[in-house]
Amino acid sequence: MYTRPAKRIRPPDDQLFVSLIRTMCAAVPVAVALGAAPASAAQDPSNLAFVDAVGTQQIIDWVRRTVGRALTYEYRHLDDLERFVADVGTTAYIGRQDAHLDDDRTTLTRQKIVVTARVVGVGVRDLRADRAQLLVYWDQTRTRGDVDRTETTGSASIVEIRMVDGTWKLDGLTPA
Amino acid sequence: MPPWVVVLGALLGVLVAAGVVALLFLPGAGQDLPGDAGAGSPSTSAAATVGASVAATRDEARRAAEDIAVTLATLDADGLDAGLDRWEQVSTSPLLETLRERRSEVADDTRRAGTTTTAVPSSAAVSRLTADSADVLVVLRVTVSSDDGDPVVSTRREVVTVVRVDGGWRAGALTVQDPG
Repeated sequence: MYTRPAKRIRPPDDQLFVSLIRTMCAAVPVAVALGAAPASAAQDPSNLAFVDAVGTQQIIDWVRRTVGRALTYEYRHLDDLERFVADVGTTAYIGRQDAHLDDDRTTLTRQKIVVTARVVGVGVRDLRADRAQLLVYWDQTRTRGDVDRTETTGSASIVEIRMVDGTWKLDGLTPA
Repeated sequence: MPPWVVVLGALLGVLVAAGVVALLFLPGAGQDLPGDAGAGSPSTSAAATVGASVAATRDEARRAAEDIAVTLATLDADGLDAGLDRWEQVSTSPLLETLRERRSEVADDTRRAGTTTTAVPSSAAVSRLTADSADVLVVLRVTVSSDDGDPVVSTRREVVTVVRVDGGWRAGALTVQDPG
């Protein structure tokens, strides 16, 4: 509603966040090439979102659990993030994230960055047997320890997931 | 047991399952949709029909929510009555009552600010679906313009609850999802 000026939803500006987004964005052209639904997808009976009620709920639950954790990190325990992403990401995603994390580790440590992300909304745009595309609302509280500053921001992202060996894996995330 | 008995039993089982799914999807049923008709499930024409119906409802609801969100984010200080009429035309209870209660307040604020607010949908996805209602996440790019300065563009996260009314879709609730 327009009545009150909307809070501007600003993406967090720390380097790891940018790296995480870069990592995830790289997967999007692949997803489009594979036929993921465009933003204005017309009626599509082959899209199983909500047609397969059980499968839809499963990916909503999985994304709700996984995305928040994959965007949460602390400068003293970046290895925890690497291990988590290694468990839930596709091979390509893991490789991209590792490279970006290596680039940013020094800055994150110097600034004593602590970030907690929480998924606050999940919608399903497209669901196939081996891939899915979701719209995710998530909030992130970021503390820069060296200057003792904390801020909370909200984001909306398109999340791509893929089925690999019978398990859903995180493949991409890009601003909605 | 003769083979035809086994075949008949299997067919009956499939038809009963399809019937249960169809009942869940009857308008007004209100349950979360539907039974599992997903990949790998036995394909029957009844199940396929129900699946197509669910898909159609899902896609209609998403498009309607996008359109309604844009309408409810659009208001021009120079056309207040027409804009506020459009808000009420795309709404139903309980949102409609709220809009009516606040109509004069909104009009006064907008007239005083002299703003024009427009919106473009960026993305949308259904988060809950029944036969006659849906919650839809809608991301808008909202532009607020006035004579005083440059337009201000922001991204807005909304959850729009749409319900079927007289064969169409209207918004029964709208929440702006601010961070925090």
